[in-house]
Amino acid sequence: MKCQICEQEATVTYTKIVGGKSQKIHLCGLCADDKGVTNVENFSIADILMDKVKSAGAAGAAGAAGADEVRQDTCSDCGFTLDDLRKIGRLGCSSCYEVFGTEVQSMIGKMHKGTTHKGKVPKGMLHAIQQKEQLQELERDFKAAIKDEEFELAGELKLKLLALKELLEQEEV
Amino acid sequence: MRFSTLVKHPADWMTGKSKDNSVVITSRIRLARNLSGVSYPGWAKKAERKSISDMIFPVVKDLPEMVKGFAQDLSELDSLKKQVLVERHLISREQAARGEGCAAVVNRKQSLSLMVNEEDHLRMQSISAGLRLRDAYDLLDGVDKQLETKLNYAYNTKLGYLTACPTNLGTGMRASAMLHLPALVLSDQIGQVLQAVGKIGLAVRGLFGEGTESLGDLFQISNQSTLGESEEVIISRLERVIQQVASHEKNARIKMMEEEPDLLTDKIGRAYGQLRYAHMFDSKEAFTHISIIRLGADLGYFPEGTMQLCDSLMMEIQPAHLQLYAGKELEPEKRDVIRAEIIRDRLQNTKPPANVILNKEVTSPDAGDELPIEPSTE
Ligand SMILES: [Zn+2]
Ligand SMILES: [Zn+2]
Repeated sequence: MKCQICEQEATVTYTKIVGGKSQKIHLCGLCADDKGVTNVENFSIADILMDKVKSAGAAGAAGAAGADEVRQDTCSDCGFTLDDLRKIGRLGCSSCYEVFGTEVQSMIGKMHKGTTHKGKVPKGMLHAIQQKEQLQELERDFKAAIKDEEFELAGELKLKLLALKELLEQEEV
Repeated sequence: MRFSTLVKHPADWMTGKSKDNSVVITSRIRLARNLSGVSYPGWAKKAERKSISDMIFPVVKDLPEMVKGFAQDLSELDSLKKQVLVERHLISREQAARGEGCAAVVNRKQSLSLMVNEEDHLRMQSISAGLRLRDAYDLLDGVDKQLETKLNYAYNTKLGYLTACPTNLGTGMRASAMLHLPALVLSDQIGQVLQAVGKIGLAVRGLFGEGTESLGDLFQISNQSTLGESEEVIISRLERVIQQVASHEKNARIKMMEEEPDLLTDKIGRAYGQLRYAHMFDSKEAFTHISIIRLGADLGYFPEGTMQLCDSLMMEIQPAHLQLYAGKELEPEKRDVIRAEIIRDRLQNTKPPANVILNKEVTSPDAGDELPIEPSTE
């Protein structure tokens, strides 16, 4: 078994129950000390892995400057990757939920009683969210209409879109 | 409020004399919230984390609920002090382990605590004595409603509050209760009860351990799923189940008094004797005896106020509190001596257990028992 941080031979395995599931991490004595994992209650496996990914990412970026093609499985807002998500089970920022939507969907089925939020809605956000979603829907329909060469429909949608955008801009002022 | 003041005063829930908290000691609600468009604390670089804290900390500090409260940048506290806050359930272990850019705000009654840059940007928690999840939720909801107008929460209609870990999506709410279940442990029913609770999809764990292993017969029951149900539905289910577990415990207590009064009285007497006169206690042993005294207090063996005394003792004998009391870091063996010293001191005015004669009319076991307790298969 290799240490999950430095890849030396691991001497200890820590198990922690998180949300009913057990997480395991293998560490060598040095890294265990370094991370303060002497008290099993006192650490979060996700945090340790996060730190590791972060420092590896920084080193990688410095080493491979220039070869910076934007990968599809990376959140452009925070740099988190699909790989990171699979390894750590957490996300980098709220935009990650859009970028890794499919992966997240496959995770939450096992975790929760449902897949759609039924609870509290922040005040003031309901209206804004509905409008934003309406806008996205209109844009989608508009593109589809163009693609299907239904130009008359596309024209109508375009007018609606412009009207809604104008409304949103006025509300923001 | 300074750190020293905070530590000197017991939390509100510990002194709640009028509340029945003989079985359900506390109810807690935790909400996870995050800001939109910035990295989650675990992923943010130090500078970003600091700037996020600068956005949130002043806002939560200025809440009317936090007047004269305790507001602290955690990087300014040494690890012992942080550990004390953990033992008081005011910050989490994970936050204590994290460095710069973390802060905590606690109200004067210690019923509300807000953590900045824990696993999520903001974790809010309220705690109240007895089974009062709804009260705890209402208190927190009031705070949340003020904050949502000032902070730009990460939220979407499908997934609800967007949390760092998908296990908290949706409501971002974890509701839990801490229960004292000595009679179920003594009568060997605890395994079956906890198994039944687990089957309903709720999480149960010993307070200071995993699974059914526990210090002081303390157990925590909480919801696991946060997405797909409203806060109300989650709280109702939890409340119903906790009520049932509590009534099992109460029935087991009465049954012990009815069927084995001598055995019970002997146990309580022995626990009292050891606590009053022993010179060294490790945590485990101390918790075991205090648990029995707490049970005895509920059954009338000790005067009023003894239960509250037990609750604060359970806090005071934890490692960080001990070392704070001693004013220095202590080796484990030395801790055991100090622990016994504190216990002897706190119990010096508590008279030996009275002879209790059971009043047969007290209670009859609840009839409508929904929790399906199956005989253990082990
Ligand atoms: Zn290592
Ligand atoms: Zn991201």
